[in-house]
Amino acid sequence: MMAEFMQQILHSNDIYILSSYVATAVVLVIMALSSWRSKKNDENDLRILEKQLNDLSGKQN
Amino acid sequence: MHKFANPARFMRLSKIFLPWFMGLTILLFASGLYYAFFLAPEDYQMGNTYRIIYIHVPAAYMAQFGYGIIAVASAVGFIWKHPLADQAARATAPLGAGFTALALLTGSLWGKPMWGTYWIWDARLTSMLVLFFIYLGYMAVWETIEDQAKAAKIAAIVAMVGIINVVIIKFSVDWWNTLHQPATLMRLDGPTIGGDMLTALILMIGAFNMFFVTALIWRIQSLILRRRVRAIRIQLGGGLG
Repeated sequence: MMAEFMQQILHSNDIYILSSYVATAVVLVIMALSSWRSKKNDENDLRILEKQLNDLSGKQN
Repeated sequence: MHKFANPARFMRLSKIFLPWFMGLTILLFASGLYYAFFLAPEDYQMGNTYRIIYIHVPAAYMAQFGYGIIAVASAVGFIWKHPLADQAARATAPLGAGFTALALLTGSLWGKPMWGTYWIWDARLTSMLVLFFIYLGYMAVWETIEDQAKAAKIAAIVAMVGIINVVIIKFSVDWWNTLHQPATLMRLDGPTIGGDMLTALILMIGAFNMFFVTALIWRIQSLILRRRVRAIRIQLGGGLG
């Protein structure tokens, strides 16, 4: 059944539709994840540095 | 305009609007895909293969729209030295490059069954490839020049000059004989498709737009945070002054 389905896809233009939608999904997921992760990493860096800054200013006071 | 483009205000407002934009993106993708695969009829000449346009057209549109944003933001940053404009332009570039790559990829997957070839040095295809290289060049300027003010200035010049290519892309199908079909939506005499096919295309363009806005907000937030990180590092390096 599965082999028949794959055979049908490979021998028709459906393979181009399938490849286009899969490629789009992959590119969109990469773009979303990289944008989100970049923001999260910068948030973490800022949190750590702000803590260091507070500790340092606390010591100086 | 200047008031709303303040980085602190942007961070506050974006936190409120972001969940709405994400929800709208999911909703538009779900309805767009439902229309594209279940309601839009099969094309009488191209069969089901034409359904590639529901991702190819929005990707190509976003590639050019993204570049438009970069050019306008760069001009604002260049002329008025606005702090958020350069960051907005910089944040847009990777997304624009991604959409351009997607337009080229889905275009070649459309070309094979329709024209019998994945690629041809046609005016529309070539100008889109040039757009992709301009995006890469723009990003390279930001990455290779350490002095951020200098990088912003040079990147803005690249972006403003590169807008000529977007005009060439738009009119390439009118100025030259190309394999690529003429505009379907943006026509003075109205779109050449209608009914559920048009609804599906509009919904998918809306989905790509909302996706772009959501990812762009994350990227601008990231660049604003990075500036703060840099400022604190300088402060810490100087022992709080």
